[in-house]
This record gives sequence, C-alpha cells and structure tokens, in this order.
Amino acid sequence: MWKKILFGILMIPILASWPWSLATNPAKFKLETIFYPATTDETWFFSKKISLDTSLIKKFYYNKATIVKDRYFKNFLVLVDLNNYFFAMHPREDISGVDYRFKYPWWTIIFLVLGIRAAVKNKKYGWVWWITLLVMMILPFFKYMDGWDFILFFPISWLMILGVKEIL
Amino acid sequence: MNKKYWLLLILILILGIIFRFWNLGKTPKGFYLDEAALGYNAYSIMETGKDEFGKAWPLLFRSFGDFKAPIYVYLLIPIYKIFGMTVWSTRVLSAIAGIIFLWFAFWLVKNISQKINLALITILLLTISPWSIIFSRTSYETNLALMFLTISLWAFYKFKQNKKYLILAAGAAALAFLSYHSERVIVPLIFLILFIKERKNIFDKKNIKTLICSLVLGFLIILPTIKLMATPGFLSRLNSLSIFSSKVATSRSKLEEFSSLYTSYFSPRYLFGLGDPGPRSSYPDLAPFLFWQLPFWLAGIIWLFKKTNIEDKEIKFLIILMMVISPIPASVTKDPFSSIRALPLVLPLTILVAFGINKFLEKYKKIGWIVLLGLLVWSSGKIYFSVFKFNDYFRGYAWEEGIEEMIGKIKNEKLPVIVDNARGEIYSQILFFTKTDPSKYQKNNFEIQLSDYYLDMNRNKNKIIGNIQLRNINLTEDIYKDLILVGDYLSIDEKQIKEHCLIPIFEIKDREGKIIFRGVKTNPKEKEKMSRLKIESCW
Repeated sequence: MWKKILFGILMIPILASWPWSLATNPAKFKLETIFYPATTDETWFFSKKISLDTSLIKKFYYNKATIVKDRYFKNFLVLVDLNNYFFAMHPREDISGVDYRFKYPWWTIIFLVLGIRAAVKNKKYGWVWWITLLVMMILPFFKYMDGWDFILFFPISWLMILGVKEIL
Repeated sequence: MNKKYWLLLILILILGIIFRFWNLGKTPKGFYLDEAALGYNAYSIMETGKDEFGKAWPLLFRSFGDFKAPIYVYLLIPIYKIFGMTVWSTRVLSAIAGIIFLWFAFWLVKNISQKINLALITILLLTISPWSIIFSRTSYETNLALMFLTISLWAFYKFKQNKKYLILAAGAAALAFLSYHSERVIVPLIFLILFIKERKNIFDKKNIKTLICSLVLGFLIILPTIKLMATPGFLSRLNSLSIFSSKVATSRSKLEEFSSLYTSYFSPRYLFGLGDPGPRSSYPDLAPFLFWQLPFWLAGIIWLFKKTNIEDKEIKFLIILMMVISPIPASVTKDPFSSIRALPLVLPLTILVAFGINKFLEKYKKIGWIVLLGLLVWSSGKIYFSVFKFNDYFRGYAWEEGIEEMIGKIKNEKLPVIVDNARGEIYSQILFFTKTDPSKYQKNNFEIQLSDYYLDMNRNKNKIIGNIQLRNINLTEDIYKDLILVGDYLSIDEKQIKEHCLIPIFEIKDREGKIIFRGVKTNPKEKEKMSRLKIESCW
C-alpha cells in the first residue's frame, strides 16, 4: 500500500513539472529553422578562421555548410544535455535561441539514470530508443526548439517512471 | 604482444609526441603568469635553495597566494640544469608527462581488460584528445598528477603478479597527491575503494611486509604536507573556490549547485560541444572530445549499464570508480566544467569511447578500419587548425602574449621603469624573462615573515625587479619625474599622452592591431612648462 502511495507522490513532480511550466509560461512554437543568414558574429569568426590558413585543406573543415552544421550540433547537444532537463541549463545558460525552461525537479535525475539502466538491459524497449533518437535528430532543425521539444516529455517521463519502479 | 602491435603502439606514440612537442615553446603564443611562476620558483630554488619569498624548499609554493603544488617546480630543476630556463623547457615537463601517461594508460587498459585492441584504441584516442593535448602543452601541474595517478593504478593492478609493485603504487599515488589540488581528494578516495575491494589480496599474510613498506613510503612522502593541512595556505584554494565556502555565492541550494556541476561532467553538451569556458583550458572549435566520438561514447555508456561479462568486470569497475570520483573536486568549485580540475576523467571516458569503437570494428572489420583511419586523419587536421592556428589568434590574449616582447623593450632602460599592475600581475613573467637574480629579488621584496609563510594570506602586489617597479601608475605624481611608464591601452591612453606631454617609445600590438602594451617616457620639463602656461595639450 505504502509503495503505491509513494509511487503516486513521486509521479506528481515527474509528470506535472514540465506541463505546468508550459501552462504558466506558454511556448511560442516558432517555425523558424536553422537555415537563416549568418549573423555578424558568425560571419566574423568564420571569415577569420578562413583567412588564418591559406591551404586548400581548410575548405574541408570550413565551408558554406559549417555555420548551419554548427547550429544543428549545438541544438542537438542541448537535447541530450542532462542539465537542460534538470537544472534549466545551469551552469552554462549562455546559449542564444535556447530556452531555460524548468522541466523536472533536479533530484528526480536519479530516476532517469535508473530508468536508462533498466531500459538498456531490456531489448524489448529498443524501439523507444530509436524513436527518441529520431525526434532528437529532427528537432535541432528548429531555430527555437522551445515548445517543440515537449515531445521528449513522453520518453523521458516514461524512463523516469521505469526508474521509480526500479526502486519501489 | 607481437611485432604488429608494438609497431602500432610506437606509431601512436610518435603521433602523440608530434601533437605534444611540436612548436611547444611558441604555441600557445604567450606565457601565462602561473607558468612563469612555476618556472621562476624552480629557477630560484635551483640558484639559492629558496623560493621567490626566500623560503627554503617549501612544501607548497605561496606564489600568488594560491599555494601551488610543489612537484612540478622541483621536477623543473633538473630540466633547467640541462636546458636552461625557457618557455620550452618549462612546458616540456608537461609534454613528457603526457607521453608517459599515454604509455601507462596503454598498459593499464591492456592488463585489466586483456584486450590489446581496446588498449591501442584508448591511447590512440588519448593521443588526439584535445583535453589531453592542451594540458600536455602547457605548464600546469594537473597533467603531472594524472601521470602519477595512472602509474599508481597500473602498479596497483600489477601487484597481483608481483607484490613489489605495491610499493611503486604507493609511491606514485603519494606523488600524485602532492602534484595537484584535485588529486588530494581523488587519490585517497580511489585507493580507499581499491583497498577495500582487494583487501583479501592486500592483507594476505604473505604480503604484510610489502604492505607495511608501501604504507610507510606513501606516508613518508605526504607526511610533511599533511602537517600543513590545517593552515590557511593549504586550504586557500578550497576557501576561495568552493561552493560550500561562505565567500562563494550561489543562486541555488548548495546541493543543487553541486549536482548541476557534477552532472555537467557527464553531459554530452559539455563533453562534445561547450567544453571548458576558460580560454586557457580549451582550444577554439574543439571540445574535450571530438564530435564523431559521441555515438561511440553512447555505445560505451550502454555497455556500462548492461550485465557484465567476467572478463569485463575489472575494467568496468575501474571506469565507474574513476568516473564517479574524478569530477568530485571539480564539482565543489564554482567554475562550470573545469577540465583542468577534472582531468583524470579523461581516462575512463576515453575508454568508453574506445569500447564503442572496438565493438564497431569487431562488427565491420575492414570498412570499420577505413572509417576509423579517415576519422583519424580528419581529426588530425581539425586539431592542427585549432591548436596551431586558431588558438594563437583567438586566445593569445588569454596566454598573455606580448609580455616577452615588452620586456625586451624595457630591460636595458637606464631610467626607472614603472609597469602598471592595476589589471593583472605580470611580475612572474618579468622575473622569468629577465632571469632576475633570485637572491637580489628576495632581498628587495617583502611580503610576509617566513615563519608565517603558510599562515599569513596578506599580499604585497607591488614589486621591485632591478630598475623595474610594478605598481599602479599614479599620473598626478609620476609625470613630474623622469620615468618610463608601461601599461595597457587603458592605463595610458591617447588623451593622457597629449595631456601630460608623454613621449611614446613603443607599442606592442596583437594580431588584430589592438594595443597590448604601450611604453612612454615622461617629460617633466615640458609638463611643468605647460602647466605654467595653462595649456591643455602638449601635442
């Protein structure tokens, strides 16, 4: 009986925090993508890097695709960042175009770790990983992922529920 | 190990030597104050047996009040005896430590996992690891500490074959403890757990003599420092940086702050993207790990979580142990993702990536090797650009470029020289590049009574080095004396030059054309004349 009560108590912060955060501070669901013209900063750094080496090899590393590729990877890494979900990006919040939205209470991170541990041990959950990965590879195309990234609430919360079950 | 593997090992080490030694004295451009302080204190000990403050053979080097770990300084002495005191000879110790680390990391992984491919891939990754390269090319104590820690772990696992290795493990662990602040936490914790795990072997009756010898050796090495543990000097770094210190304000509860810092050391965003925000602890465009390693790292993490085969048990235990403990001291400090303090983490995380690559190669064999070779070539190019091109351009300011050039302009000046120290202490670099006689410097500068060396935290930032004085420029008085004034573009600007009739002598500029240092000669006669005539500008 007490296990059920405890399970219920733990479910509230896990399932309610992110939706509550969206309800109180609604996302704008902007449709802009990462394919926008280079900013002044991006252009400055890019042109400096290009000018520092005159060899042809540099084009292999620094070419027209570099700026967009960097934006994509930056967004992708935000999606796989634990601190994004549990610490609102702390201790490095200084990322433009990424929201610092509160998503889960920080102490629930332990349930995610336990959930991942339980999920990787069981092959039947493989499809969840692939779908999550696919979502994580599509979302970085958005310039502002806030709101769109809520889709990850479902697999992450599911993993955390698995984690809670591991303990109880 | 057959010839093929020896050849591969040697080739990897040659690559490691190239990345660590090539252009070592010139890149990073500049020479940071901590590097110069380590160097000059070694020079001072070599010449006089005393450090810059006149303290004979200190156990911690007071320096800028940060009480530097002593091993790097003492190991520099034989190097200076052979090569003299230069930027190259100061950094070469770190580079040598980087190569020795690679060697022992190979044997550690090979001996524990019994997988030669895994060991070779691990050191191949460490060879091209930006995290390892940056601390092998700069004079920081952390790389030396990692080398001793790796030797001690290797010797500890060899102990099962030959009990005498326990003595080496204890000696190396004690030296790691003394080599860097983080290892004061990491080494005792790692070895406490390893001792508990291997207690049956270690406390076996046959091993008692070896155990006692090892413990005695270890304690003898660290005992003098342990006696200082309660002094303000020993605790200075902790007090100034710890989030648990009352001096450090945090926006969250201390436990939440610690947790956020701790998890950042396992976050792909930091490991493969952001890296260390410190400009001297990272390279432009390079994170601690290369981006293509991310999927292999994730494969390694999954392997870590899965059920363990008997043959993987030991290596998994070591990886988890090092992963859990290594970020602790770094997470206690306020800096987000401090790669310098969490350097030992590079080893377990690299083994994880290597494991992922090894699995990939087992599955795809020939194609896998071609892909790996391609990635290796691509990474080498990327490292070349960041380490040898971009770092000097974008981070020259952080390595305090221009000081050597500035000293070249003032060291033969006959007039007294005032170097402004309002925005940075460059006295260690001046001492280093002028090779000032340590006994003269000790005599002319006083900071504390030697009996209070580890106790008194007061500092005297004004220094006298021959005819060079380091202090704040006081224009209201200095312009009426015959002096050479040296400062940055803020301390001596164009307006002041005109207003005070200063005569420009030199300007040191960075690659963007921004003034780093400006040297001017005062012109008291002209200034007095101008004041009498009530003219506002001389030129």
